[in-house]
Amino acid sequence: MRRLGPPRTSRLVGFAVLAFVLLWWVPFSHVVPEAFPLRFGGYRTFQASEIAMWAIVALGLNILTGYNGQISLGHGAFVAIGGYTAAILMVDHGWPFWTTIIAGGAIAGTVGLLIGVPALRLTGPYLAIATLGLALATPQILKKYDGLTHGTQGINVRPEVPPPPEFIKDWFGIHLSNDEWIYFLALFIVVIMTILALNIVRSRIGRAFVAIRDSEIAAQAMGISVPRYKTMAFAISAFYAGIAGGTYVQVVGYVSPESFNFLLSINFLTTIVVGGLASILGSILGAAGLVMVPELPGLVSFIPGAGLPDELSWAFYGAALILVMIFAPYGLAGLFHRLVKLRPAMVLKSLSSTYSRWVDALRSPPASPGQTGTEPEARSSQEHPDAKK
Amino acid sequence: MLQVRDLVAAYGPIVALHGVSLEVREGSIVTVLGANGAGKSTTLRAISGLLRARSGSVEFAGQRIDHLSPEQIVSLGMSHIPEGRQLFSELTVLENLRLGAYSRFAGADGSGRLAHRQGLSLLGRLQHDLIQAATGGVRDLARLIREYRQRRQDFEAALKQIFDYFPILAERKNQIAGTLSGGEQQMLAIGRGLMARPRLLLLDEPSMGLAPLVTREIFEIIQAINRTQGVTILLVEQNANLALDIAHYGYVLETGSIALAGSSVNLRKSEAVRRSYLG
Amino acid sequence: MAEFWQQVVTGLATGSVYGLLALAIVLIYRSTTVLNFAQGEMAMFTTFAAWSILQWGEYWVMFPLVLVMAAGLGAFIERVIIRPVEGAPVLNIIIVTLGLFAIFNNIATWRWGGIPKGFPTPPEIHVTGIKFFGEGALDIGPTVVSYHDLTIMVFAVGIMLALYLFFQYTPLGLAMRATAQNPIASRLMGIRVGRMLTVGWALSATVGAVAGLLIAPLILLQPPMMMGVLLYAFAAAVLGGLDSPVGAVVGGLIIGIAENLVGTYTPKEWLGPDMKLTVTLLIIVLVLLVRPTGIFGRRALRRV
Repeated sequence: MRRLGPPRTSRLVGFAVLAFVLLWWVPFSHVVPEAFPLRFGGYRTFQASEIAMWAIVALGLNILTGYNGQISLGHGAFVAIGGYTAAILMVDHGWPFWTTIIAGGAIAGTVGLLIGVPALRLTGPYLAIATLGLALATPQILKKYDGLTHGTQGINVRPEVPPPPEFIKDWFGIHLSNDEWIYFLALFIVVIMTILALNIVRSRIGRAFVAIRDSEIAAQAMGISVPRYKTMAFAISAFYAGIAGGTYVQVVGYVSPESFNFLLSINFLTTIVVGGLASILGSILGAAGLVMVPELPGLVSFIPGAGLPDELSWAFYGAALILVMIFAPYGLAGLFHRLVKLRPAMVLKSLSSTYSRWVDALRSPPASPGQTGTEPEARSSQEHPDAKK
Repeated sequence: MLQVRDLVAAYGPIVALHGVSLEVREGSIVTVLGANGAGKSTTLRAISGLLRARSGSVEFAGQRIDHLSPEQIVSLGMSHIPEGRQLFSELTVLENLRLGAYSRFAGADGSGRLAHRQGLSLLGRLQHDLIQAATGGVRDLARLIREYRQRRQDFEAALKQIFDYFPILAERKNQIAGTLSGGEQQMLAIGRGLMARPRLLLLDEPSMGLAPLVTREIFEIIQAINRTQGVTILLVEQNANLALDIAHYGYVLETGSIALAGSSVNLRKSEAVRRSYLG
Repeated sequence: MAEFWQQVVTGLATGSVYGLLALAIVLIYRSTTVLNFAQGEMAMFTTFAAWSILQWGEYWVMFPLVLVMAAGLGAFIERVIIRPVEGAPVLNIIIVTLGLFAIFNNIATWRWGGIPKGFPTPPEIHVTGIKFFGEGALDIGPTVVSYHDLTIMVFAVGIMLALYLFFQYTPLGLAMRATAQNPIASRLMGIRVGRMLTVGWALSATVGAVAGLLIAPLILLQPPMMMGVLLYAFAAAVLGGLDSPVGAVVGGLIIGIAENLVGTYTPKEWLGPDMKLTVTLLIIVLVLLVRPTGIFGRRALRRV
């Protein structure tokens, strides 16, 4: 399979930069003088852990929705299952934390498999709303059966989170704060899950998923067992969400029924669409966007004159969503792929053609959603990013 | 009546028409033949505005139409009966026919307003469109009410004519279009196209998927429409035999370019045509 | 027994509001297969605007004004915000509606604040001695029905009827139905597909505005007011079948009644009113498993 993208040296450089940023800059840059712009540390490190956490969910959801075409508005429920399982096992039964995370993933995955079966009957918007129902029911169920879940007060896990192991102090001479230690843990988990996702997506299973998404009937004709793979996709994505839930317990230290409301589930969908459907990179970029975009008005206010009243930051987020959908229909990952293929001079050209297309769209009659073929306008000049990435 | 010059059309990066030129004289039946994928349907789509041409020109009754939208082109008197019929399969026969008459009896106003709009700035156009959206409905309604009785009579007359050509449609007028047989659906499609009282009819593969007897019947009716009403017809067909039977003039399209052109008599005699298309 | 009928009647009233909002959702879904997640917030926004108008005008002066405003809002949104993405995959368009959700919610909170306000029920009109609308309640059999609840039901039925007549018997309605089924053929008929979509959004926004005006007196006017209603409206639309306006209203009524009955008649220890939403949703999912496209939905078969 031909690999599209930038040439070898720039890949290595990119990778090195990424490693540096992730392994040193994010957790440790607070040693750098305060005036330095992109200084991390403290709260920002926590946010990085958040991004890792939501990236795990996004990876799973993208496998289900982006690669397999089943829309789920209820993945918050699976995160809740994973989180609560981990929390209960840790606090009420004293399990060690790696096992709680895996247990969270396993239980969530099993529930996902069970839900995947009736989900076979539903398609498109019907499935979406049914899963939304799942997300809505979750806080209610968690509150009601408080014998197990500790009810509305939630479970406070903080005291049980293990501190960084001694050998790190001994071998590296670094004293890690809890936040930093958890960041590395979360980073480790998300890297593993990403590698796993890459493998799934490029394997026979991944190809089967895509075939089913593009045409169930054709896939069936090719000998792919549609029910088997569709439920598998549900189980895998639920497993991912469960792992993320277990990680959430470590990162945030507290779970309550309201932590996993339906807004969270809707946000997950937004994350993968904005990040880029059927794209591993997209899942990660989307998660970064989810955590960082609400911060933007605050960051921008450092520039004198460019201010936004705090109360309107939500509207700003909404406007940003709309603009991204208009100008980057393939998501942030799509933008990234386009930019990477272009040389700087062409970036300007691409931007101006996008603008004139928007102006055109404001004038001309609409196309039907998702329709291709009869309207061969400029839309098709956008290249579809390599679906395997 | 119709002049197509050097038409180039593409679907994204795939060029389907490499400079097609053809002419349709008023009152005649012209056919475009060719194998699958030659670009016949593409040609019709480019003419009727469903597909925007890359370059070249299309002139209809002396007016350039290549950058107009299909809605505008319909109101100028050209009706396109597309490949696969494209009926409103969940609506009744009568409703389909009513929709065929839409351009004449309901909305499209066309030229005057259009020209005015061309001259506006972008903001002006947006404003114009918003006002149109808000009040256009009201103005159209007012017009409708004023001219109601006349329109009603026109409509009934057009309907009667269609039922004369296709009596079976009269029988089934309240039936859901999707439940009609293939032949009946094709008749409905043609009837619907005729409700707009077009001067030029674009027919895309009317024989597709139909049994030979029914096809023959339909072709006879097409010929009758041309003879008695003087409707000009541009017929795209795979069934060269039937097409050449009723056409006056013909073109042969091969992978996006015109390979042959001539009167139907000459085309029938040509070796190339006989070998490839007349079987 | 009287309790049972009382629950049913109040359920019919709230259900009518769910049904109206569901109707608005279905109107847009039918023509574009888009689920408009901003439907509730748009209704909330127009209701707040109505409240502002009420500060200096009479109710029945405000009413038509708000309807016109809602129509304009819907048309504007379709033309300027939705149009550029109309050719994109449906999920993209849904995200755009989510963006609109955030915008409307935020602006309403910023402009009118978070303190709940009261909103009046339509004031009474007397026609030939019969009182329409207004305060108070009527005794019907074993139940007590408030005038406001009756108002809601009357409006719901009235709007449904009006829309039915519009779509079945007017040229514009026919053109809109055609556009929803087959946009390409519609263009060939001379129908301006874009304008049909604009009208569709305008109609949908208007219906939603009425839903907002009718429910505000019951649940206090505040920015989060329509969120719960929206979720029930989606459930109702899906229950009834997303391409069926009748289904939307019927679905709404069913949910309204079910919600009340579940809240009242299930054992409090392990279900009861705390779980009313969950049980209602469970019922819907069960129905969907039996009828995957909703009670009145069609298009279960797809042409390959």
